[in-house]
Amino acid sequence: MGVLARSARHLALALLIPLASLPTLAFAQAPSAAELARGKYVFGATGGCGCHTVPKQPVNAGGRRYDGPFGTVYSSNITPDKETGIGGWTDEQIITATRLGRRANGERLIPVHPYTVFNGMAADDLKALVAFLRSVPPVKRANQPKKISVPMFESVFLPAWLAAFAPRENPPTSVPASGVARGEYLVRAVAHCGECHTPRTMTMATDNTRFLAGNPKGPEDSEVPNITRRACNGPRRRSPNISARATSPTATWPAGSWARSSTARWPASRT
Amino acid sequence: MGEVIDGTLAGFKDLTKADRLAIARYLKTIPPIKNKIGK
Repeated sequence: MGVLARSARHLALALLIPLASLPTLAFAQAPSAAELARGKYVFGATGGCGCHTVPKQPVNAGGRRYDGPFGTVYSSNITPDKETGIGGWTDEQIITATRLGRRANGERLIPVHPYTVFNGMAADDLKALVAFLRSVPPVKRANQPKKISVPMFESVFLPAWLAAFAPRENPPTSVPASGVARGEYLVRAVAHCGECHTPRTMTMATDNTRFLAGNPKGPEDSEVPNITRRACNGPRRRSPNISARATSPTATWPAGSWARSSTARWPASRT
Repeated sequence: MGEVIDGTLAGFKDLTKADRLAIARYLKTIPPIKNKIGK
């Protein structure tokens, strides 16, 4: 009986150990080509995470400068480099930073990174995005430290501002597939259109009572057009209006030709 | 946003026609707001 019991135990262990390790194996599997393609598409729909690329420099390697009323920050290296990028982060840590604004070490991100709206991204899109980010070539480029000029900005002001003024999108249970719901998801969360096209209040939060109504003091001191309906159809448009193209059945969104310099200001009105 | 998407691996230009139209349809649902931008 003893031999039989031992044999049975060994058999059980032989069966259970592979079963127990299945989730780990599944997690460690390389992403499929379809998931990478989806991640690249989501990446593009965010605007290519462009804030993390200095024009004509390595993609996603960070270092782009943003000046604000609180000081100066530089975008982070989001290539999969293990020392200077996100190569040492878990998927969950990257997703937490993206949607909740917390680094792996617990440090709070300055909301130049629009995590309050990225919080509205669906989990599946974020997972695919992370898979894609891991697939690009790693670049060893140390992050530049931020220069905060407001006393107690991160310990007091920022948490209070986030609680009092920052609107927060909520993630959908699934990715909207089509129609107005899909458009809303892309505009409000993934493409984070409101971050530039919505004017800001004196607290520098987006004024969502005037959602997408244009921003006279956008990034790089640019005038960001009003893309609400009246502006789309109005007879007298004096400033560039992407809505005309966006509402065309043959719409093509503008892309790289808008780039003007390697330094963007955020929020520009207070710099 | 446009000024920061130069040199990336993908961008808004890569959105499918269906997604561009979905965006347009959503934008048309937003109430018109007067907010003059530009001179």
